[in-house]
Amino acid sequence: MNNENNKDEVVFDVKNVNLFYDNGAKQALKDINMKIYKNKVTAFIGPSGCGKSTLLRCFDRMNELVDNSYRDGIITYNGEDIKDINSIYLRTRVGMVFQQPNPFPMSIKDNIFYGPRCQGVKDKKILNEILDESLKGAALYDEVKDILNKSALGLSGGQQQRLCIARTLAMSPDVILMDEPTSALDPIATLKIEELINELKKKYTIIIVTHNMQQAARISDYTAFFMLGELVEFNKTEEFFSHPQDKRSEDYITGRFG
Amino acid sequence: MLRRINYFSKLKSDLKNFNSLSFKDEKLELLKSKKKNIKKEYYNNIAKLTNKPCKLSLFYSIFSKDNEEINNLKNSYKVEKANIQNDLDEYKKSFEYHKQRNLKFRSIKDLLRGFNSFFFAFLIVALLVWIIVYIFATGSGKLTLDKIFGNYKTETYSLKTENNFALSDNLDFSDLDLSSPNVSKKWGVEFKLLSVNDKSYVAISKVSENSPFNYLVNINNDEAFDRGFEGLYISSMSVMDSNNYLNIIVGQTTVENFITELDKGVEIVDSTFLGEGGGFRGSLLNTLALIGLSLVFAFPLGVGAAIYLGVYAKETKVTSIIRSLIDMISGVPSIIFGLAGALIFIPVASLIPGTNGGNLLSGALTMTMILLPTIVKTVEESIKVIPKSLTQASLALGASKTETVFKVVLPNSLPGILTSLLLSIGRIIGESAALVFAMGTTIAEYANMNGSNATLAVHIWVILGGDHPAYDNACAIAIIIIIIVLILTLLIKLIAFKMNKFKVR
Ligand SMILES: Nc1ncnc2c1ncn2[C@@H]1O[C@H](COP(=O)(O)OP(=O)(O)OP(=O)(O)O)[C@@H](O)[C@H]1O
Ligand SMILES: [Mg+2]
Repeated sequence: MNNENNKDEVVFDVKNVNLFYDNGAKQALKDINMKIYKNKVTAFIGPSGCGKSTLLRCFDRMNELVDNSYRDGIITYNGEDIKDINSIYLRTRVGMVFQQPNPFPMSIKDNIFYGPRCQGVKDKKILNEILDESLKGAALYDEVKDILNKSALGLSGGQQQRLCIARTLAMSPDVILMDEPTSALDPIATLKIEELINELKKKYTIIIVTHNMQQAARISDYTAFFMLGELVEFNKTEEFFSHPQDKRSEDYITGRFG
Repeated sequence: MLRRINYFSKLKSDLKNFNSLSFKDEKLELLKSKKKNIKKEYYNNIAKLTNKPCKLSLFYSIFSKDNEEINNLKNSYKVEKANIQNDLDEYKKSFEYHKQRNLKFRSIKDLLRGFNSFFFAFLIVALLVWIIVYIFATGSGKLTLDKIFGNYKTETYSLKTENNFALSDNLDFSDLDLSSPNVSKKWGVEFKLLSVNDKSYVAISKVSENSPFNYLVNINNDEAFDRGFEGLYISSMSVMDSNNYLNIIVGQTTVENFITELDKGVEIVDSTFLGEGGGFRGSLLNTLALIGLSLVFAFPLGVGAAIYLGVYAKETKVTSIIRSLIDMISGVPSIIFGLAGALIFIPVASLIPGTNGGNLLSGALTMTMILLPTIVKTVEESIKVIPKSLTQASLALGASKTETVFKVVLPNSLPGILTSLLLSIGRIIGESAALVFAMGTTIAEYANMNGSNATLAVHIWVILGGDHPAYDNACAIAIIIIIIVLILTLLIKLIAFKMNKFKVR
């Protein structure tokens, strides 16, 4: 399935990953093998409940917080098994943006400072540098530069989501995981986030879960199609949409189900 | 062909079923969905007929191949569609009628319901206002600053002039208003009337710097009297005149009479000064001390347990047992805690040297037991309603679990924490049954750890017991309690408002 002669650098390498919920009563991922490439956008698509979010949460080990779940197989991050990496350190390298905008009920400033402060950054100068840089990175700077001390909950949904992205950027991560980041937003806010993702991929590796196939086609370099916990097809996005190799992929693209 | 017949008969039976549906909105929904589905079903049926998948592109090719059959199908589909549309229109018409007819009934029903809730709310408010007005009316007469900060015990002092006392004639009393009829020009003392239990007594309002009253001594041990005369009234005074006749003056008289009699004398042989007593200062201080001490024990424990249960503990049998135990404990009457406190905590509290029996410590420990369930429950509930997305966001940003608890969980459960604080304070102020056993009923003059101490509520309990219940004093204490609770409530609301400013939009 993978292009063997691919020259892109591998960030995550997923090998034979199975994941079970409810003490093994439910298998959410079945023998997943795939690679995530550096500075590329990888889109996860597939019908609801197929395990996209589950796999995404494996990358920053957030899934380990789910009671009664376990995973086998190996996921390596830059060649190192993520199980051997301190989860807190891993999460500073691999940021996550959630489906619903979830800023903290604090000021905009404190939202950005939250991560760096947890890492022990106290210097005002450094913090302000981070603030400017991450707000600009998330294309939010002009909109909020005068209201930095106001509550983050006063922003619109789209602004809140960009604030969440900025908050992630403030950790200067390497990879950004996004779980349906635009599903709660209107088309204009969605467009802004998509443009932002196009900008961000120059510096970051991005994995994005989406239900919107046009979105996947527009913004991603690689597309992975999941069904019932299986990785059905993983390919370059143009290849995937123009010449689907699997019958199920073709059906999904042409809108037969899902 | 057979399949097609099946299809139509199915449609018809559907329609029948539909008509037999009860008159509700579901009928409308069904109609709408049916209208949508009928097209889909139609395509699928063609697909079944031709045994080919129904892709849109394929569909047209089939269409041309099997034209006649499909045209028939199409026509019958149109007819069905028209039928359903008819039904839909009819339904809508009758629905409009129902809507309008219903309107009247509903407005009457709403009126009744509204009146009901208004009436009961009014009743409750009226009842509360009545109680509070009654308490204030009864108690406010007794509520003076002297009472609030005064001694509880009646004070008695027996005083006389110093040994070998000789009254000199030419003392300078110019610091008093000598023209006033209330001033004794011989002794240099200004008097006033003090009303005690509805009787008026003569009392000293001011003593001149050079007055011999400054050098009165205790009749028993000749020690100087340095308390001052504030709050004291004269019960009686025995005065020796220049002919060595003894004259006893009672304090329950007018100031003029008293001065006339006093000025005849040259030496005070004996006098009885009384302090009114009945003040609440000791109980008030003890209540505050108990609040402080109980919260010091109960709060960290309660919030800690709530964090454990709400954040760290996995849902297991053990935690569910703990939860039901907590629920159970909060229903146990407090007198049982008083019993347990007396049996368990009084021995513990007695370990402090110089104490015996119940004291502030055993009271605070008992209150801790009573408060814990409420604190744990209120705080845990407020932790539970914090959106999971916030803690997840914190963890995903590389915060540790402890950091998440302190930076996200605790600040966001502040309303619950403050509520539990308020409930706790209210409970401590109001508790009497448990404290009667666990802390004691002796009304003290100051807060102390030495032994049995009454709080304000126990003070009420004490003065209402016995043969002559002092309802007015009890109401006065009740007013103090109400005012303390009011102030604390406002304070905590203010804090909550200040800290909540990022939550309000
Ligand atoms: N915490 C959990 N406990 C038990 N089962 C879970 C849990 N989370 C997810 N699952 C199950 O795992 C499967 C995959 O879930 P997942 O959330 O990864 O799907 P998804 O592809 O993200 O779906 P969607 O597109 O709706 O977000 C689902 O069948 C779901 O029921
Ligand atoms: Mg999902």
